[in-house]
Amino acid sequence: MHHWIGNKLLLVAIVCGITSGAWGLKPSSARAYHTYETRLLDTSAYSLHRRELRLGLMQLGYGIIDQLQVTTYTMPWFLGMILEDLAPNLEFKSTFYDRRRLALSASVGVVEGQAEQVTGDGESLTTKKVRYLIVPLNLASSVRINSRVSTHLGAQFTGTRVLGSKQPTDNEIRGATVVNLLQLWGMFEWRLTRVTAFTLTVRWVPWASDTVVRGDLVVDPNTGAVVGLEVEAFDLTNAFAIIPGFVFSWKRANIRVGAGYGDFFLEGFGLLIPGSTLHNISPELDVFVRF
Amino acid sequence: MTYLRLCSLLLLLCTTQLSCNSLDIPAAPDILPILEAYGDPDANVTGEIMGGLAETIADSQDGFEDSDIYEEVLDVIVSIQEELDASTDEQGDITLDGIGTFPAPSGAVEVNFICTGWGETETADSEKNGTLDLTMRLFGGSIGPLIWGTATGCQYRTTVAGKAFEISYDGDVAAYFGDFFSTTDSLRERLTTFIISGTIGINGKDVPIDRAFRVDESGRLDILMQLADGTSFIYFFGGGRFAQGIEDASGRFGCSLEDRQCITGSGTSFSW
Repeated sequence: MHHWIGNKLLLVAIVCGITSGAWGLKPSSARAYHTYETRLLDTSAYSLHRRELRLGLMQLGYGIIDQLQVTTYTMPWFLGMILEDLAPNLEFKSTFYDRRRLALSASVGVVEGQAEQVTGDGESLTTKKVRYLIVPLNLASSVRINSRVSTHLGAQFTGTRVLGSKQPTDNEIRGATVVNLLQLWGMFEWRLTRVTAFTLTVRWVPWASDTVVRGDLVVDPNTGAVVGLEVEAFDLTNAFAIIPGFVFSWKRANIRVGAGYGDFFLEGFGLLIPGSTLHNISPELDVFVRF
Repeated sequence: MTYLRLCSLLLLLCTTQLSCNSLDIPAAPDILPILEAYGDPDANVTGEIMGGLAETIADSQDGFEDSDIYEEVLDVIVSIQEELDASTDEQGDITLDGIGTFPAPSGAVEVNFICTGWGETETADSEKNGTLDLTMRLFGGSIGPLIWGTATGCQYRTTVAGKAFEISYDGDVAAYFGDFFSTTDSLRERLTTFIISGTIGINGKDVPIDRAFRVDESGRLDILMQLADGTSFIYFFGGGRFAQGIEDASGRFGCSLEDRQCITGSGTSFSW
Protein backbone atom coordinates (compact mmCIF):
# COMPACT_ATOMS: atom_id res chain seq x y z
CA MET A 1 0.00 0.00 0.00
CA HIS A 2 2.74 2.46 1.03
CA HIS A 3 4.76 1.41 -2.01
CA TRP A 4 1.78 2.18 -4.26
CA ILE A 5 1.25 5.59 -2.64
CA GLY A 6 4.97 6.30 -2.95
CA ASN A 7 4.88 5.56 -6.68
CA LYS A 8 1.88 7.86 -7.12
CA LEU A 9 3.62 10.66 -5.26
CA LEU A 10 6.75 10.20 -7.34
CA LEU A 11 4.67 10.32 -10.51
CA VAL A 12 2.98 13.54 -9.37
CA ALA A 13 6.36 15.09 -8.57
CA ILE A 14 7.83 14.11 -11.95
CA VAL A 15 4.82 15.49 -13.85
CA CYS A 16 5.05 18.70 -11.87
CA GLY A 17 8.73 19.02 -12.46
CA ILE A 18 8.54 18.45 -16.21
CA THR A 19 5.53 20.74 -16.62
CA SER A 20 6.94 23.55 -14.55
CA GLY A 21 10.34 23.18 -16.15
CA ALA A 22 8.82 23.48 -19.61
CA TRP A 23 6.94 26.60 -18.61
CA GLY A 24 10.03 28.06 -17.05
CA LEU A 25 12.02 27.66 -20.29
CA LYS A 26 9.53 29.79 -22.22
CA PRO A 27 10.72 33.37 -22.56
CA SER A 28 8.65 35.71 -20.46
CA SER A 29 8.17 39.41 -20.66
CA ALA A 30 7.46 41.78 -17.83
CA ARG A 31 4.90 40.33 -15.48
CA ALA A 32 2.08 42.85 -15.86
CA TYR A 33 -0.64 40.71 -14.38
CA HIS A 34 1.14 38.73 -11.70
CA THR A 35 2.68 41.93 -10.39
CA TYR A 36 4.50 42.96 -7.26
CA GLU A 37 1.29 44.56 -6.07
CA THR A 38 -1.13 41.96 -7.34
CA ARG A 39 -0.59 38.78 -5.41
CA LEU A 40 -2.32 35.44 -5.16
CA LEU A 41 -5.16 35.78 -2.70
CA ASP A 42 -5.86 32.13 -1.96
CA THR A 43 -3.57 30.00 0.19
CA SER A 44 -1.50 33.06 0.93
CA ALA A 45 -1.29 35.96 3.39
CA TYR A 46 -2.42 38.54 0.85
CA SER A 47 -5.81 40.16 0.65
CA LEU A 48 -7.69 42.50 -1.66
CA HIS A 49 -6.65 46.14 -1.72
CA ARG A 50 -8.97 48.89 -0.53
CA ARG A 51 -12.15 49.12 -2.60
CA GLU A 52 -11.06 46.19 -4.76
CA LEU A 53 -13.73 43.67 -5.66
CA ARG A 54 -13.51 39.97 -6.39
CA LEU A 55 -16.38 38.21 -8.12
CA GLY A 56 -15.89 34.55 -8.74
CA LEU A 57 -17.22 31.05 -8.97
CA MET A 58 -16.14 30.17 -5.44
CA GLN A 59 -15.86 33.49 -3.61
CA LEU A 60 -17.14 37.05 -3.59
CA GLY A 61 -14.83 39.46 -1.82
CA TYR A 62 -14.31 43.13 -1.12
CA GLY A 63 -11.35 45.06 0.24
CA ILE A 64 -12.68 47.26 3.02
CA ILE A 65 -9.27 48.72 3.66
CA ASP A 66 -5.84 47.62 2.47
CA GLN A 67 -5.47 45.43 5.55
CA LEU A 68 -8.93 43.90 5.63
CA GLN A 69 -11.10 42.04 3.17
CA VAL A 70 -14.47 40.48 3.63
CA THR A 71 -15.41 37.37 1.70
CA THR A 72 -18.41 35.16 1.28
CA TYR A 73 -18.08 31.68 -0.20
CA THR A 74 -20.57 30.85 -2.91
CA MET A 75 -20.75 27.09 -2.39
CA PRO A 76 -22.80 27.29 0.85
CA TRP A 77 -25.19 29.71 -0.88
CA PHE A 78 -25.60 27.35 -3.86
CA LEU A 79 -26.09 24.38 -1.54
CA GLY A 80 -28.50 26.47 0.50
CA MET A 81 -30.58 27.23 -2.59
CA ILE A 82 -30.66 23.53 -3.52
CA LEU A 83 -31.63 22.58 0.03
CA GLU A 84 -34.09 25.49 0.15
CA ASP A 85 -32.42 27.02 3.15
CA LEU A 86 -29.93 29.86 3.09
CA ALA A 87 -26.45 29.23 4.43
CA PRO A 88 -25.02 32.62 5.35
CA ASN A 89 -21.26 32.75 5.58
CA LEU A 90 -18.71 35.47 6.03
CA GLU A 91 -14.95 35.57 6.39
CA PHE A 92 -12.77 38.46 7.47
CA LYS A 93 -9.14 38.31 6.46
CA SER A 94 -6.60 40.82 7.63
CA THR A 95 -3.15 41.19 6.13
CA PHE A 96 -1.94 42.94 9.24
CA TYR A 97 1.73 42.98 8.22
CA ASP A 98 3.05 43.48 4.70
CA ARG A 99 6.50 44.99 4.49
CA ARG A 100 9.48 44.22 2.32
CA ARG A 101 9.39 40.51 1.55
CA LEU A 102 7.10 39.28 4.32
CA ALA A 103 3.33 39.37 4.71
CA LEU A 104 1.30 38.00 7.60
CA SER A 105 -2.43 37.52 7.84
CA ALA A 106 -5.15 36.23 10.12
CA SER A 107 -8.67 35.33 9.20
CA VAL A 108 -11.83 34.13 10.86
CA GLY A 109 -15.04 32.97 9.24
CA VAL A 110 -18.45 31.65 10.13
CA VAL A 111 -20.70 29.41 8.07
CA GLU A 112 -24.11 28.55 9.40
CA GLY A 113 -26.88 26.64 7.73
CA GLN A 114 -29.53 24.02 7.91
CA ALA A 115 -30.55 21.02 5.85
CA GLU A 116 -34.08 19.73 6.09
CA GLN A 117 -35.58 16.50 4.86
CA VAL A 118 -39.33 15.96 4.87
CA THR A 119 -40.70 12.48 4.21
CA GLY A 120 -44.15 10.94 4.28
CA ASP A 121 -47.39 12.81 4.62
CA GLY A 122 -50.35 13.05 6.94
CA GLU A 123 -49.72 11.25 10.21
CA SER A 124 -46.51 9.69 8.88
CA LEU A 125 -44.98 13.10 8.09
CA THR A 126 -41.41 13.19 9.37
CA THR A 127 -39.11 16.18 9.35
CA LYS A 128 -35.37 15.77 9.89
CA LYS A 129 -33.28 18.86 10.40
CA VAL A 130 -29.53 19.20 10.62
CA ARG A 131 -28.10 22.56 11.62
CA TYR A 132 -24.39 23.20 11.20
CA LEU A 133 -21.92 25.83 12.26
CA ILE A 134 -18.40 25.95 10.82
CA VAL A 135 -15.77 28.32 12.15
CA PRO A 136 -12.40 28.40 10.34
CA LEU A 137 -9.49 30.36 11.85
CA ASN A 138 -6.43 30.88 9.70
CA LEU A 139 -2.92 32.27 10.19
CA ALA A 140 -0.77 32.70 7.09
CA SER A 141 2.62 33.99 6.09
CA SER A 142 3.97 34.76 2.64
CA VAL A 143 7.59 35.37 1.73
CA ARG A 144 8.63 36.87 -1.61
CA ILE A 145 11.94 35.16 -2.21
CA ASN A 146 12.46 37.01 -5.49
CA SER A 147 10.26 38.52 -8.18
CA ARG A 148 9.36 35.08 -9.51
CA VAL A 149 9.24 32.85 -6.48
CA SER A 150 7.22 33.08 -3.31
CA THR A 151 6.44 30.66 -0.54
CA HIS A 152 3.35 30.64 1.61
CA LEU A 153 2.87 28.81 4.90
CA GLY A 154 -0.08 28.68 7.20
CA ALA A 155 -2.15 26.91 9.80
CA GLN A 156 -5.89 26.60 9.89
CA PHE A 157 -8.07 25.50 12.77
CA THR A 158 -11.61 24.57 11.89
CA GLY A 159 -14.37 23.91 14.38
CA THR A 160 -17.53 22.25 13.15
CA ARG A 161 -20.70 21.75 15.11
CA VAL A 162 -23.67 19.79 13.81
CA LEU A 163 -27.01 19.65 15.60
CA GLY A 164 -29.72 17.26 14.50
CA SER A 165 -33.37 16.97 15.33
CA LYS A 166 -36.36 15.02 14.14
CA GLN A 167 -40.13 15.56 14.42
CA PRO A 168 -41.90 13.60 15.65
CA THR A 169 -39.10 12.24 17.83
CA ASP A 170 -38.32 8.57 18.24
CA ASN A 171 -36.71 9.31 21.56
CA GLU A 172 -35.79 12.14 23.82
CA ILE A 173 -32.15 12.48 22.82
CA ARG A 174 -31.32 15.30 20.40
CA GLY A 175 -28.01 14.66 18.67
CA ALA A 176 -25.11 17.01 18.09
CA THR A 177 -21.50 16.52 17.11
CA VAL A 178 -18.35 18.58 17.17
CA VAL A 179 -15.27 17.97 15.03
CA ASN A 180 -12.19 20.15 15.28
CA LEU A 181 -9.35 20.00 12.78
CA LEU A 182 -5.91 21.56 12.59
CA GLN A 183 -4.53 21.86 9.09
CA LEU A 184 -1.03 22.96 8.13
CA TRP A 185 -0.45 24.05 4.59
CA GLY A 186 2.31 25.33 2.39
CA MET A 187 2.33 26.63 -1.15
CA PHE A 188 5.23 27.17 -3.48
CA GLU A 189 4.53 29.80 -6.14
CA TRP A 190 6.62 30.26 -9.26
CA ARG A 191 5.66 33.01 -11.65
CA LEU A 192 6.48 31.54 -15.04
CA THR A 193 5.16 34.32 -17.27
CA ARG A 194 3.22 37.49 -16.70
CA VAL A 195 0.04 35.42 -17.05
CA THR A 196 0.97 32.06 -15.65
CA ALA A 197 2.07 31.04 -12.20
CA PHE A 198 2.79 27.49 -11.18
CA THR A 199 1.76 26.49 -7.69
CA LEU A 200 2.46 23.43 -5.63
CA THR A 201 0.27 23.16 -2.56
CA VAL A 202 0.71 20.69 0.28
CA ARG A 203 -1.93 20.27 2.97
CA TRP A 204 -1.72 18.06 6.03
CA VAL A 205 -3.89 17.47 9.08
CA PRO A 206 -1.55 16.72 12.03
CA TRP A 207 -4.40 16.74 14.54
CA ALA A 208 -8.10 16.08 14.48
CA SER A 209 -10.21 15.94 17.59
CA ASP A 210 -11.91 12.75 18.60
CA THR A 211 -15.29 12.85 17.00
CA VAL A 212 -17.71 13.12 19.87
CA VAL A 213 -21.41 12.94 19.19
CA ARG A 214 -23.54 14.51 21.88
CA GLY A 215 -27.16 14.09 22.72
CA ASP A 216 -29.20 16.13 25.16
CA LEU A 217 -31.49 14.02 27.23
CA VAL A 218 -34.35 15.41 29.30
CA VAL A 219 -36.07 13.00 31.66
CA ASP A 220 -38.17 15.45 33.67
CA PRO A 221 -37.86 19.03 34.93
CA ASN A 222 -35.33 17.90 37.55
CA THR A 223 -33.30 15.40 35.55
CA GLY A 224 -31.26 15.98 32.43
CA ALA A 225 -28.12 14.52 30.92
CA VAL A 226 -25.67 14.92 28.10
CA VAL A 227 -24.76 11.72 26.29
CA GLY A 228 -21.32 11.87 24.66
CA LEU A 229 -20.38 9.09 22.26
CA GLU A 230 -16.91 8.55 20.85
CA VAL A 231 -17.11 7.75 17.15
CA GLU A 232 -14.10 6.04 15.64
CA ALA A 233 -15.37 6.06 12.06
CA PHE A 234 -14.01 9.48 11.15
CA ASP A 235 -10.31 9.56 11.93
CA LEU A 236 -9.06 12.49 9.89
CA THR A 237 -5.60 12.70 11.45
CA ASN A 238 -2.81 12.67 8.86
CA ALA A 239 -5.12 13.44 5.97
CA PHE A 240 -3.06 15.16 3.28
CA ALA A 241 -3.04 16.42 -0.28
CA ILE A 242 -0.31 17.39 -2.73
CA ILE A 243 -1.72 19.57 -5.49
CA PRO A 244 0.22 21.01 -8.42
CA GLY A 245 -1.68 23.71 -10.24
CA PHE A 246 -1.63 26.89 -12.21
CA VAL A 247 -3.03 30.34 -11.73
CA PHE A 248 -3.67 32.30 -14.91
CA SER A 249 -4.04 36.00 -14.32
CA TRP A 250 -5.02 38.60 -16.89
CA LYS A 251 -5.96 42.21 -16.42
CA ARG A 252 -9.10 41.32 -14.54
CA ALA A 253 -9.86 37.65 -15.08
CA ASN A 254 -8.17 34.90 -13.12
CA ILE A 255 -8.37 31.15 -13.35
CA ARG A 256 -6.98 28.79 -10.78
CA VAL A 257 -6.84 25.14 -11.70
CA GLY A 258 -5.04 22.16 -10.26
CA ALA A 259 -5.34 18.48 -9.54
CA GLY A 260 -3.34 16.46 -7.11
CA TYR A 261 -3.26 13.40 -4.97
CA GLY A 262 -4.75 12.87 -1.55
CA ASP A 263 -7.78 14.00 0.38
CA PHE A 264 -10.04 16.76 -0.93
CA PHE A 265 -9.73 19.94 1.15
CA LEU A 266 -12.52 22.47 0.89
CA GLU A 267 -10.53 25.65 0.89
CA GLY A 268 -11.82 28.39 3.07
CA PHE A 269 -13.76 26.10 5.34
CA GLY A 270 -10.83 23.90 6.35
CA LEU A 271 -13.01 20.85 5.94
CA LEU A 272 -12.02 17.80 3.97
CA ILE A 273 -13.51 14.86 2.18
CA PRO A 274 -11.59 11.58 2.58
CA GLY A 275 -9.58 10.75 -0.53
CA SER A 276 -11.26 7.39 -0.98
CA THR A 277 -14.50 9.24 -1.87
CA LEU A 278 -12.93 10.89 -4.94
CA HIS A 279 -10.41 8.17 -5.86
CA ASN A 280 -7.68 10.22 -4.14
CA ILE A 281 -7.98 13.02 -6.66
CA SER A 282 -7.72 16.39 -4.97
CA PRO A 283 -8.88 19.17 -7.31
CA GLU A 284 -8.54 22.96 -7.21
CA LEU A 285 -10.68 25.26 -9.32
CA ASP A 286 -11.73 28.88 -9.27
CA VAL A 287 -12.59 31.47 -11.87
CA PHE A 288 -12.90 35.07 -10.83
CA VAL A 289 -12.55 38.67 -11.87
CA ARG A 290 -10.78 41.22 -9.75
CA PHE A 291 -11.14 44.94 -10.24
CA MET B 1 -9.42 48.89 15.22
CA THR B 2 -13.13 48.20 14.75
CA TYR B 3 -12.46 45.15 12.66
CA LEU B 4 -10.15 43.74 15.33
CA ARG B 5 -12.99 44.02 17.82
CA LEU B 6 -15.25 42.28 15.34
CA CYS B 7 -12.70 39.48 14.98
CA SER B 8 -12.51 39.18 18.78
CA LEU B 9 -16.27 38.84 18.98
CA LEU B 10 -16.26 36.18 16.28
CA LEU B 11 -13.47 34.37 18.12
CA LEU B 12 -15.53 34.43 21.30
CA LEU B 13 -18.49 33.03 19.39
CA CYS B 14 -16.30 30.24 18.06
CA THR B 15 -14.90 29.22 21.40
CA THR B 16 -18.29 29.16 23.08
CA GLN B 17 -19.99 27.24 20.29
CA LEU B 18 -17.26 24.75 19.53
CA SER B 19 -15.60 24.00 22.80
CA CYS B 20 -17.09 20.56 23.45
CA ASN B 21 -14.78 18.50 21.30
CA SER B 22 -13.92 15.76 23.75
CA LEU B 23 -15.66 13.83 26.48
CA ASP B 24 -13.83 15.90 29.08
CA ILE B 25 -15.40 14.12 32.05
CA PRO B 26 -14.41 14.40 35.72
CA ALA B 27 -11.78 11.92 36.90
CA ALA B 28 -13.20 8.76 38.42
CA PRO B 29 -12.33 8.06 42.07
CA ASP B 30 -9.97 5.17 42.83
CA ILE B 31 -12.21 2.71 44.64
CA LEU B 32 -9.96 -0.32 44.25
CA PRO B 33 -8.61 -0.16 47.86
CA ILE B 34 -12.19 -0.11 49.14
CA LEU B 35 -13.21 -3.09 47.00
CA GLU B 36 -10.11 -4.99 48.16
CA ALA B 37 -10.91 -4.17 51.79
CA TYR B 38 -14.45 -5.49 51.34
CA GLY B 39 -13.05 -8.63 49.73
CA ASP B 40 -10.49 -9.29 52.46
CA PRO B 41 -11.28 -7.68 55.84
CA ASP B 42 -7.98 -8.21 57.68
CA ALA B 43 -8.41 -6.55 61.08
CA ASN B 44 -8.77 -8.56 64.30
CA VAL B 45 -11.54 -6.70 66.10
CA THR B 46 -11.37 -6.48 69.89
CA GLY B 47 -13.52 -4.90 72.57
CA GLU B 48 -11.08 -2.00 72.71
CA ILE B 49 -11.46 -1.34 68.97
CA MET B 50 -15.23 -1.52 69.19
CA GLY B 51 -15.21 0.80 72.20
CA GLY B 52 -13.71 3.47 69.99
CA LEU B 53 -15.86 2.82 66.94
CA ALA B 54 -19.31 1.71 68.10
CA GLU B 55 -20.71 5.23 68.15
CA THR B 56 -19.28 5.98 64.70
CA ILE B 57 -20.86 2.82 63.34
CA ALA B 58 -24.25 3.71 64.84
CA ASP B 59 -24.04 7.27 63.51
CA SER B 60 -23.05 6.02 60.07
CA GLN B 61 -25.97 3.62 60.00
CA ASP B 62 -28.40 6.32 61.13
CA GLY B 63 -27.02 8.87 58.69
CA PHE B 64 -27.14 6.41 55.81
CA GLU B 65 -30.62 5.11 56.53
CA ASP B 66 -32.30 8.34 57.65
CA SER B 67 -30.89 10.35 54.76
CA ASP B 68 -31.96 7.68 52.26
CA ILE B 69 -29.14 9.07 50.15
CA TYR B 70 -28.47 5.78 48.41
CA GLU B 71 -32.08 5.58 47.19
CA GLU B 72 -31.95 9.22 46.12
CA VAL B 73 -28.87 8.62 43.96
CA LEU B 74 -30.12 5.26 42.70
CA ASP B 75 -33.44 6.80 41.58
CA VAL B 76 -31.54 9.28 39.42
CA ILE B 77 -29.35 6.56 37.91
CA VAL B 78 -32.34 4.32 37.17
CA SER B 79 -34.28 7.17 35.52
CA ILE B 80 -31.35 7.83 33.18
CA GLN B 81 -30.97 4.12 32.55
CA GLU B 82 -34.65 3.91 31.54
CA GLU B 83 -34.32 6.93 29.25
CA LEU B 84 -31.27 5.43 27.56
CA ASP B 85 -33.20 2.21 27.12
CA ALA B 86 -35.93 4.12 25.25
CA SER B 87 -33.28 5.21 22.72
CA THR B 88 -31.57 1.82 22.47
CA ASP B 89 -32.60 -1.06 20.24
CA GLU B 90 -32.34 -4.79 20.95
CA GLN B 91 -28.73 -4.91 19.68
CA GLY B 92 -27.68 -2.17 22.09
CA ASP B 93 -27.37 0.45 19.33
CA ILE B 94 -28.28 3.95 20.45
CA THR B 95 -30.11 6.46 18.24
CA LEU B 96 -29.59 10.20 18.51
CA ASP B 97 -32.31 12.12 16.69
CA GLY B 98 -31.14 13.76 13.50
CA ILE B 99 -27.59 12.43 13.81
CA GLY B 100 -27.90 8.69 13.42
CA THR B 101 -27.67 5.30 15.07
CA PHE B 102 -24.47 4.28 16.81
CA PRO B 103 -23.72 0.60 17.20
CA ALA B 104 -22.20 -0.54 20.50
CA PRO B 105 -21.51 3.04 21.58
CA SER B 106 -18.70 4.05 23.91
CA GLY B 107 -18.63 7.37 25.70
CA ALA B 108 -20.09 8.98 28.76
CA VAL B 109 -23.33 10.27 30.18
CA GLU B 110 -23.11 13.36 32.34
CA VAL B 111 -26.18 13.63 34.50
CA ASN B 112 -27.42 16.84 36.02
CA PHE B 113 -30.11 16.37 38.64
CA ILE B 114 -31.74 19.34 40.34
CA CYS B 115 -32.52 18.19 43.86
CA THR B 116 -36.20 18.22 44.74
CA GLY B 117 -36.04 20.53 47.79
CA TRP B 118 -37.64 20.49 51.22
CA GLY B 119 -41.10 21.66 50.17
CA GLU B 120 -44.23 19.52 50.26
CA THR B 121 -44.10 19.41 46.46
CA GLU B 122 -40.93 18.82 44.46
CA THR B 123 -39.45 21.83 42.69
CA ALA B 124 -36.71 22.24 40.07
CA ASP B 125 -34.87 25.26 41.47
CA SER B 126 -31.15 24.53 41.28
CA GLU B 127 -30.19 27.72 43.15
CA LYS B 128 -32.34 26.85 46.13
CA ASN B 129 -32.36 23.05 46.11
CA GLY B 130 -28.80 22.34 44.93
CA THR B 131 -27.69 19.77 42.38
CA LEU B 132 -26.36 16.26 42.01
CA ASP B 133 -23.99 15.75 39.08
CA LEU B 134 -23.12 12.19 38.10
CA THR B 135 -20.93 10.63 35.42
CA MET B 136 -21.65 7.28 33.80
CA ARG B 137 -19.38 5.61 31.25
CA LEU B 138 -20.55 3.63 28.24
CA PHE B 139 -18.38 0.81 26.94
CA GLY B 140 -19.47 -0.89 23.73
CA GLY B 141 -23.13 -0.42 24.52
CA SER B 142 -22.86 -1.41 28.20
CA ILE B 143 -22.85 0.94 31.16
CA GLY B 144 -19.69 0.89 33.29
CA PRO B 145 -20.05 -0.48 36.83
CA LEU B 146 -18.76 2.71 38.50
CA ILE B 147 -20.91 5.86 38.56
CA TRP B 148 -19.54 8.87 40.37
CA GLY B 149 -20.17 12.53 40.97
CA THR B 150 -20.73 15.40 43.35
CA ALA B 151 -23.66 16.79 45.29
CA THR B 152 -23.67 20.55 45.78
CA GLY B 153 -26.01 21.75 48.51
CA CYS B 154 -28.44 19.03 47.49
CA GLN B 155 -31.67 19.34 49.50
CA TYR B 156 -34.49 16.81 49.47
CA ARG B 157 -37.21 15.48 51.69
CA THR B 158 -37.53 11.88 52.73
CA THR B 159 -39.78 9.82 54.92
CA VAL B 160 -38.41 6.89 56.92
CA ALA B 161 -40.77 4.80 59.06
CA GLY B 162 -43.46 7.46 58.81
CA LYS B 163 -41.13 10.23 59.95
CA ALA B 164 -40.25 13.09 57.58
CA PHE B 165 -36.66 14.34 57.34
CA GLU B 166 -35.21 17.42 55.66
CA ILE B 167 -31.95 16.17 54.21
CA SER B 168 -29.02 18.02 52.69
CA TYR B 169 -25.81 16.62 51.26
CA ASP B 170 -22.62 18.29 50.15
CA GLY B 171 -19.83 16.08 48.90
CA ASP B 172 -18.71 13.27 46.61
CA VAL B 173 -20.64 10.13 45.82
CA ALA B 174 -19.71 6.95 43.97
CA ALA B 175 -21.70 3.79 43.31
CA TYR B 176 -20.08 0.56 42.16
CA PHE B 177 -22.47 -2.06 40.77
CA GLY B 178 -19.97 -4.93 40.49
CA ASP B 179 -20.11 -5.47 36.73
CA PHE B 180 -21.10 -3.81 33.47
CA PHE B 181 -24.84 -3.60 33.00
CA SER B 182 -27.28 -2.99 30.18
CA THR B 183 -30.10 -0.47 30.01
CA THR B 184 -32.54 -3.22 31.00
CA ASP B 185 -30.70 -4.73 33.99
CA SER B 186 -32.24 -4.15 37.39
CA LEU B 187 -29.72 -2.29 39.54
CA ARG B 188 -31.76 -2.68 42.71
CA GLU B 189 -31.08 -6.42 42.66
CA ARG B 190 -27.33 -5.88 42.65
CA LEU B 191 -24.93 -5.87 45.56
CA THR B 192 -23.76 -2.27 45.38
CA THR B 193 -20.84 -0.50 47.00
CA PHE B 194 -21.78 3.09 47.78
CA ILE B 195 -19.14 5.60 48.85
CA ILE B 196 -19.89 9.03 50.24
CA SER B 197 -17.49 11.68 51.42
CA GLY B 198 -18.96 14.94 52.61
CA THR B 199 -21.51 16.32 55.05
CA ILE B 200 -25.02 15.02 55.50
CA GLY B 201 -27.53 17.35 57.15
CA ILE B 202 -30.52 15.71 58.82
CA ASN B 203 -33.16 18.11 60.06
CA GLY B 204 -30.56 20.83 60.45
CA LYS B 205 -27.90 18.69 62.15
CA ASP B 206 -24.74 18.31 60.06
CA VAL B 207 -22.87 15.00 60.21
CA PRO B 208 -19.48 14.70 58.46
CA ILE B 209 -19.21 11.34 56.77
CA ASP B 210 -16.46 9.63 54.78
CA ARG B 211 -17.42 6.00 54.46
CA ALA B 212 -18.20 3.07 52.18
CA PHE B 213 -21.45 1.13 52.43
CA ARG B 214 -22.45 -2.07 50.66
CA VAL B 215 -26.13 -2.69 50.14
CA ASP B 216 -28.53 -5.01 48.36
CA GLU B 217 -32.27 -5.19 47.95
CA SER B 218 -32.71 -7.53 50.95
CA GLY B 219 -31.86 -4.66 53.26
CA ARG B 220 -28.34 -5.86 53.98
CA LEU B 221 -25.97 -3.06 54.92
CA ASP B 222 -22.19 -3.57 55.22
CA ILE B 223 -20.28 -0.63 56.64
CA LEU B 224 -16.55 -0.69 55.93
CA MET B 225 -14.48 0.39 58.92
CA GLN B 226 -10.85 1.20 58.19
CA LEU B 227 -8.46 1.35 61.13
CA ALA B 228 -5.45 3.58 61.64
CA ASP B 229 -3.05 0.65 61.15
CA GLY B 230 -4.35 0.14 57.59
CA THR B 231 -6.44 -2.94 58.37
CA SER B 232 -10.20 -3.02 58.00
CA PHE B 233 -13.35 -4.89 58.97
CA ILE B 234 -17.00 -4.90 58.02
CA TYR B 235 -19.81 -4.14 60.41
CA PHE B 236 -22.96 -5.60 58.90
CA PHE B 237 -26.68 -5.25 59.50
CA GLY B 238 -28.85 -8.10 58.16
CA GLY B 239 -27.93 -10.35 55.29
CA GLY B 240 -27.41 -13.63 57.15
CA ARG B 241 -28.13 -15.52 60.34
CA PHE B 242 -27.07 -12.55 62.45
CA ALA B 243 -29.15 -9.37 62.71
CA GLN B 244 -25.87 -7.48 62.96
CA GLY B 245 -22.24 -8.34 63.45
CA ILE B 246 -18.65 -8.17 62.30
CA GLU B 247 -16.71 -9.77 59.48
CA ASP B 248 -12.99 -9.57 60.14
CA ALA B 249 -9.85 -11.70 59.72
CA SER B 250 -11.36 -14.41 61.94
CA GLY B 251 -14.66 -14.68 60.04
CA ARG B 252 -18.25 -13.56 60.67
CA PHE B 253 -19.81 -13.31 64.10
CA GLY B 254 -22.76 -11.61 65.72
CA CYS B 255 -22.70 -8.39 67.72
CA SER B 256 -25.14 -5.94 69.23
CA LEU B 257 -24.39 -2.25 69.33
CA GLU B 258 -27.25 -1.82 71.79
CA ASP B 259 -25.87 -4.49 74.18
CA ARG B 260 -22.25 -3.41 73.49
CA GLN B 261 -21.22 -7.02 73.00
CA CYS B 262 -19.99 -9.49 70.36
CA ILE B 263 -19.85 -13.29 70.44
CA THR B 264 -17.13 -14.69 68.18
CA GLY B 265 -17.36 -17.86 66.10
CA SER B 266 -15.42 -19.84 68.73
CA GLY B 267 -18.02 -18.93 71.34
CA THR B 268 -15.95 -16.39 73.22
CA SER B 269 -17.35 -12.94 73.71
CA PHE B 270 -16.04 -9.46 74.16
CA SER B 271 -17.72 -6.28 75.19
CA TRP B 272 -16.92 -2.61 75.44
